[in-house]
Amino acid sequence: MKIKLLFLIIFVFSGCASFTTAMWPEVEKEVVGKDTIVDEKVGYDYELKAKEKSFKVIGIPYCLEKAPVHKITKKQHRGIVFIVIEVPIWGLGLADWVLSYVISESSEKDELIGYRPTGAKKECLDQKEISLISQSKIMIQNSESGEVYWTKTDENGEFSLKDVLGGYSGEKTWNIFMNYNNENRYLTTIWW
Amino acid sequence: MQRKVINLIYFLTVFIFCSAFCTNLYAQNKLKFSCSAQIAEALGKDVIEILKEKRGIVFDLKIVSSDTALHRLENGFSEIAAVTLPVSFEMAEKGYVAIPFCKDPIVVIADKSVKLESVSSEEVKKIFSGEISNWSQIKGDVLPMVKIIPCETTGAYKNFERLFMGIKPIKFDFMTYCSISVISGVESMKGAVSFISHGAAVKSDKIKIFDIDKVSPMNSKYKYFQVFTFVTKGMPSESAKGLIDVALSKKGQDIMKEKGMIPIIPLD
Repeated sequence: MKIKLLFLIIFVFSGCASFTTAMWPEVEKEVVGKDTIVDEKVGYDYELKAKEKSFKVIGIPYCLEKAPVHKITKKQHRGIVFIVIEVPIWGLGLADWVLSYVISESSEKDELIGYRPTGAKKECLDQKEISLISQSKIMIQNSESGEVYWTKTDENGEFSLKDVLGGYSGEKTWNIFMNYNNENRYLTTIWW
Repeated sequence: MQRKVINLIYFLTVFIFCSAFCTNLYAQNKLKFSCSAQIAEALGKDVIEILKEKRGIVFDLKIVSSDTALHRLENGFSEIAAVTLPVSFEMAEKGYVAIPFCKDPIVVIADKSVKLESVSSEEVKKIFSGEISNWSQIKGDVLPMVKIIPCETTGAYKNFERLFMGIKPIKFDFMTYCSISVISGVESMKGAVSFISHGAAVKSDKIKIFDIDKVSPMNSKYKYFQVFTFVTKGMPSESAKGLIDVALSKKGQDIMKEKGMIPIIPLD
């Protein structure tokens, strides 16, 4: 009975898992946090407002949402196999498991290494001006043939499709793009 | 029995604790994108990198044939598809938005052992209809032709059939499931011939690209083009618009021009 108890104690406190956890080197990984920030203005979202026979292009400034990126260095909780083997034979081993867990958790180091865009756009906190996009090139593309027609917005940011497609017969879908600051942006698709 | 119960409880406890150690990752904005193999090969990685860097948009990218990409879009498995097939009027009526963004020459390729630089369009038709089966019949060396073609559901097959073959059926020795796999096939078989998009073909230095009727695919007079189109079901989402804008941007268009593709919506 005493010998059995002794064996039991040895195996409970044998420390296979905790030893393995302590001796193994730390593992690094990057984790993206949830406390996002709204960064500075990066561009405009363009909206097309339909009026009776014309469209108005407006620009709404947007900022990118960014999330913090942390470098987490930590010892991995190892030796689960030892615990799994120990338990069915001796019915215990929890102490070893708990000790290896404590070693693993106490070794954690967290370092903020920067911010990364989440892909979400947010309204800019301090700049809410909406601009009329005047004197900008508008491209209207026939989505079937790919053929492109051109026009320009006037001083009020407006343009008329009738001026460009007035002579066109048959209902088609048309993709509308805008060229602003030498960048093309897709606005919308309409039936005409 | 008692021991078994204790062991079971313990296994469960260990499992739960192990699971608790998993760190939850903050999900970035993910765009489900089904893309034709030809487009992915020609543009894919470069455009994806720009999009990830500029807007933090991560792709859930599936590379399939154009036909399959459209089906995936239809069945809600992707938000946007990039295809080399024209979108029918029927699809437009159902609310699909098609945005053609560039043209890419479709080229005839061969293994480097073939000592020819140009073939005529009529010869191309005869090669793939089975009338010509040896390179010596068109002033090449005595070398049997091995015809490798992409699967019938691919945009490459359908566009080639439409542009070169007319009503003549295509005859072949090997057919690949993925369109760009023809490049590997041609690289490894002597006397092999096939067809694929120029943007994908230029990546390999182990094949040759023929001039057709003595006109180079890089020449503005080259007549045989596929049109690359973005397709969405309804109006594009914000992430999908991001992808479209990158393809239309200066950087995106520079990448296309480098590979001999022609942007349809030019910047100037």
